[in-house]
Amino acid sequence: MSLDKKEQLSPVERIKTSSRGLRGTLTESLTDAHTGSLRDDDQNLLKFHGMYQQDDRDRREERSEKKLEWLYSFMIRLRLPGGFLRADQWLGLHHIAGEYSTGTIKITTRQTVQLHGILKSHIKPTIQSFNTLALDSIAACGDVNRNVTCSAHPGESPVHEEVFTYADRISSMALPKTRAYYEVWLDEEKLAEHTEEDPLYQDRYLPRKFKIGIAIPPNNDVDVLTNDVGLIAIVENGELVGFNIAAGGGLSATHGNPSTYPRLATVLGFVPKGDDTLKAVYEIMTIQRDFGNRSDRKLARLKYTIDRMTVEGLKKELEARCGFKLQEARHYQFTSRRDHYGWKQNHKGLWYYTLFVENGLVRDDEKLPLKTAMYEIAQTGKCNFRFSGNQNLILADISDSDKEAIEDLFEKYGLGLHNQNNSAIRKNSIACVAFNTCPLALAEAQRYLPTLITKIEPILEKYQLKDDEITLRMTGCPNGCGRSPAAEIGLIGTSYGFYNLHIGGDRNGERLNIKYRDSLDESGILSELDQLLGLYASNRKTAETFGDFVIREKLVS
Amino acid sequence: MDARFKSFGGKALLPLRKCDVDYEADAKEWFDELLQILSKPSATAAQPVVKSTTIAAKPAGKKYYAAKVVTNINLNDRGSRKQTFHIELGTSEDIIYEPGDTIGIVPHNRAEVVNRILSLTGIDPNTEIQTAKVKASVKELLTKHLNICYLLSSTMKKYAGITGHEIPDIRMDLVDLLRIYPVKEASQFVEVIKTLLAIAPRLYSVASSPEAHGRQEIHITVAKDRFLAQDEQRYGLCSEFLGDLVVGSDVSFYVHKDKHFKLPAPEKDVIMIGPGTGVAPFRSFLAHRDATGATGRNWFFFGEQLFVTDFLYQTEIQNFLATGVLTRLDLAFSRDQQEKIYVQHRMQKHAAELYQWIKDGASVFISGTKDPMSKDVENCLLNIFKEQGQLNDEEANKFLETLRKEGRYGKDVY
Repeated sequence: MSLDKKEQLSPVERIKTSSRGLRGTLTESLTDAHTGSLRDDDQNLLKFHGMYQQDDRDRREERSEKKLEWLYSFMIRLRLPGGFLRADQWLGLHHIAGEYSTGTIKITTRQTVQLHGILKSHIKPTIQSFNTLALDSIAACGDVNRNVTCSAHPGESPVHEEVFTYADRISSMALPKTRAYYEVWLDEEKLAEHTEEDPLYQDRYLPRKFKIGIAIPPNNDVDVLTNDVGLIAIVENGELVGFNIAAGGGLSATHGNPSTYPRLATVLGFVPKGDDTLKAVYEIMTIQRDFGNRSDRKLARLKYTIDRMTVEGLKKELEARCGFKLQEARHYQFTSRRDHYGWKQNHKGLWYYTLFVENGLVRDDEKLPLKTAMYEIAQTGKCNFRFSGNQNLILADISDSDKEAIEDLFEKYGLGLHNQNNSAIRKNSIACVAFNTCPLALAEAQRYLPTLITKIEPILEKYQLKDDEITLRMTGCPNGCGRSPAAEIGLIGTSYGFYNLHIGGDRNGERLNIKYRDSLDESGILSELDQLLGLYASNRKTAETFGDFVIREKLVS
Repeated sequence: MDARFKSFGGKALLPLRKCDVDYEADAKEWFDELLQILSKPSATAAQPVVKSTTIAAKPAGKKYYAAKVVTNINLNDRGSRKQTFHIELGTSEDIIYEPGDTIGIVPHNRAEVVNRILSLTGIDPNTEIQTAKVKASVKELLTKHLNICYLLSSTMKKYAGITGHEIPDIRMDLVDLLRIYPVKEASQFVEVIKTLLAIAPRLYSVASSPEAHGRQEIHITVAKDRFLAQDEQRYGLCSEFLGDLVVGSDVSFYVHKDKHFKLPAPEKDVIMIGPGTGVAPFRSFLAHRDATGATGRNWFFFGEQLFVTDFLYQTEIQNFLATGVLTRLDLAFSRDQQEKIYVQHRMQKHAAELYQWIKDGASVFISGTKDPMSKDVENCLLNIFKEQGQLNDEEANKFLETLRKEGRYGKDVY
């Protein structure tokens, strides 16, 4: 590649800088009555408002034959730092999902919820309805800081409440300053002709998406090292003292492009809690803004910027911008990355119930009226709703006296045994959305993984491994939304019905997996897993995880 | 009375229709037609309706083209209440037609019904019979030429005469008649066949252009509700609905010229109002103007129930818009929101521009259902003339009449 070409900005850069603060021609696009799609540039800008234009890929061929355009619709993702909703907000979400979307509420891998299948004419009513619940989708997608994640379970640490406030503070700090969202979707009057100054994002925003997560050891349920910036809470003598700050995580790669790769974040050092923490996060963003690659979007994430600058180089620039030095990283240890299902009480005596939600899909199906049950539970007003990075739901902050009323509803809807009735591998699995709406999908994921697991379960049974908490993650492409590179078993779609099999990731999210086999179909996946799990069952050391076993045995390297 | 009026030189607004005990349906239809004629502004009496019904008498001496169904697609998506078929007919000879024309298609009777008739009568299917118009085998006559559905009272009477049965004055399908009042022998059925009337062709607006789609292909747009509404009662279900025809089926058709529904000169502007299947002739117009590089502007008003499922020919219309063939497009999807929005609401919204286009020489065409669409649209046009041109009722009507006389106002309604 010539130097000139390298320096040429990617087309998205022009769209951003000429968008007048992300306004573009969105208003005009909405009034184009002949199509359910937005104009090309606006499709890019829409992401910054928390939405993606998609189409029903199952219906493309049939619609084309009928001389109808593709069935376009929109996915909207809320900005929910740390993944928290009040009961009344859940009720509102339930109604909005029913009125304007497919009806399914999807809990994402970043602790928020998204709705699919919203027609262009329904975007504004949807956003207006969310607004009445004090919910928005600003910057939930796009080249900005995305939803900030934070260890989900308040029962797991007395400092949770304090750490959780950082998710909110970082989210607010990194919010774009433009009023475009309010003008385009909520009909706010434009106050001045000029576009708002934005010292963080300027007019070019970041070169690529930017993810921030906060973990409270020993649980790494947010997969903190897969973020561009990861904060690891350091608790000493029962007090939050600050955070180890890590940078450069990111799991996306492109098939056939060796300069792309997944990477876990590198711990840079320790920052005391408070303004210093916020300052350090902010300045990593400005470094990425100024040094990130703006010509090739496939090489634009912070992980590539760091590998170009070197970790030391980044640290030096960061300290210069912060005006203080990072301290040496403090000791921490992750011992798990999973959700702890069922009832748990926190230090204040409040109760929490973690409910398994397969692939985060809250809907009523023939097995379980989950959506109806959640609606009725929300109607009691006796709990809050929290979402975990593993796509599960936590009914939160329930007082001792209200616990029974919630349990009665579990009974009524058959939720009591739901957690127990699902196998360990199923409860430790994640799948991304993929077909039918994701435009990037090469293969199925959330529509297929449940049936694949049903076929893997007998293999585990055969080797007496059914209670082993092996992590299994499937993504329909190598972009890693379902964090497949960070699982003990990763299945990454290559083409319809075919997956690369990756193994050797550790259980707690501190080592990525490695490709073991190329493009397997279902029978290939099952026979390879049968072989590997058989070896694991007979040759593993006590308490050795599957991921560690395959590395020790050098099955992949 | 009819004879008496005629003897004095009276001119019938509508042909006489005789009814008997079961008069309601016929009478209502006759009165409706009469009211329509009377409610129209003058001049229409002499020229009753541009194209009043889809069922027309089969004109003698028409050139029939033998065609095969090349394509048959339901344009409405899953979830729609509508079924609208885009049908392409292919011929081996050049078809002589122009945008704005109509074709008459003779629907064939269903094979199972024909076979039932043959077995009920015991006639040799290959028996050659000469009817008033054609000579062919019994099977072919019953399949392609003769109406066997919901026979007229007069035909029923002739049947009673031939077979000697006492039959009440009702109408029914031939197959039921044969079942209840059987013929004595095959030779008696030959006599019956000679009394059967020809199958009435159905008229459909052409949706293609020879310039754009070639001369050995012709397209139509057929809505199922339209077909059934008229035929369930009049014809029973013994003839094939076009939308059910599989690719490769045989169909014959003739071209019906329409002088009053023709594109103006290439540099002239055209306003097209065609909701529902009314889109058909305008697909033809737009394709033609595209293929011939006509420079006049084109403005199309389309409407249906739902944007997602019922936007007929959406991708083609989008292409016309993208390439600039279509200057303006206004859409009205009635059920996409609480209040019903129709094409006339869109016209009213752009009244000033619409009037300006017409003042600048644009032609206006309306296509689609006569009632209530074409009337609402025409009233809307008159209103726009009044508002925008400061005209009174009479002047507005006169203006429309002038457009009509100049060939700048055409209707293809049914």
